[in-house]
Amino acid sequence: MSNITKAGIMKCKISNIKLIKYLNKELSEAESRQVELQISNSENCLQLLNELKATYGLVNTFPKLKENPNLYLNVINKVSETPKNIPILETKTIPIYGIVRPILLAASILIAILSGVFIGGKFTAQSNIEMATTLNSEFYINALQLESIENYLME
Amino acid sequence: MTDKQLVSEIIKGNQLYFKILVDQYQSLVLNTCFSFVHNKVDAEDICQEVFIEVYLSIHKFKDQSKLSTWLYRIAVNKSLNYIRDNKKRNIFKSIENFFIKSQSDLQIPDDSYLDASFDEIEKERFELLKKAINKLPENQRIAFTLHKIKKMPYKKTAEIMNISLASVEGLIHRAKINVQKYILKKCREK
Repeated sequence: MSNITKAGIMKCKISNIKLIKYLNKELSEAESRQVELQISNSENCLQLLNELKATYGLVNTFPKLKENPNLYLNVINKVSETPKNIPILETKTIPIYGIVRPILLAASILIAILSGVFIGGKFTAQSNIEMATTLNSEFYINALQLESIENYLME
Repeated sequence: MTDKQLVSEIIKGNQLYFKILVDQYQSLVLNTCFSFVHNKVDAEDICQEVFIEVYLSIHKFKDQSKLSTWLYRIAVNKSLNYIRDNKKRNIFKSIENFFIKSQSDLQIPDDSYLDASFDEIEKERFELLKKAINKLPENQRIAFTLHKIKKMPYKKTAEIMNISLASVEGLIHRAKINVQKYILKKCREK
């Protein structure tokens, strides 16, 4: 796209969908005439339409690659390098793996959920008792400690 | 020589016939791969992989379809697998680049295959077209590439994709609009 066109293209007021439909001849005759009129009055719209035509038109001139004269030899060399039992092994292992994988996945999810419930239940039950005992013991120990210090000071 | 004779001779182990197959269908396979991956070196690598697979699994070829249809299917599948793997690789690369600013940012697009008559503006347009095609959903991309770029009729496209004729028509229509929308959007952004 040239520098002259870049700035102008943005200013085209026709919507993308309408321009596409116009280009693909999907508009009614009246609509088509209306778009044509808009395009003829706007240099920017004409540039945008031309840019779309030129870019999309490259589909028809898509480049082609040149053949490789050594391809046959390369393929044969590669094939002779690979062990013959590879495809057989692959076809045998894929179905087993395909069956085992979902079973393992389901089992691991189930184990994770059950262990979560088990540990969670135990943890909450234990934590309440533990909290109560630690609070009591702390209070009791602190009181004793304080008492002994007071006794010591009084003496 | 018919496809059936060619295949049966290759199965018998006659390598001369495999060479005939490679010579006969190389252009078809290579350019199909290229129309999907848009990179010369990658297309050549995939093309080689396609013929290796053909050699190793020629006994699986069924006479119900044409040899070219079978080859197209393998080429399309291999190309799409490559694109998927490449996407994953690019995600890792972009994460890597985020932490380490490397020279991979300075990648030069491979346009050596382009016609010498292509000037800078046309090269820019071609890059935009490739990006627009790459943005398409997989099914639309296959249908669009086979029909619009490879100039394959609807019937053969449907046969390769193993879907109905109506589905192919729908996919191509949607793909065409999406490509055009993307081009217009990028043109307006410039």
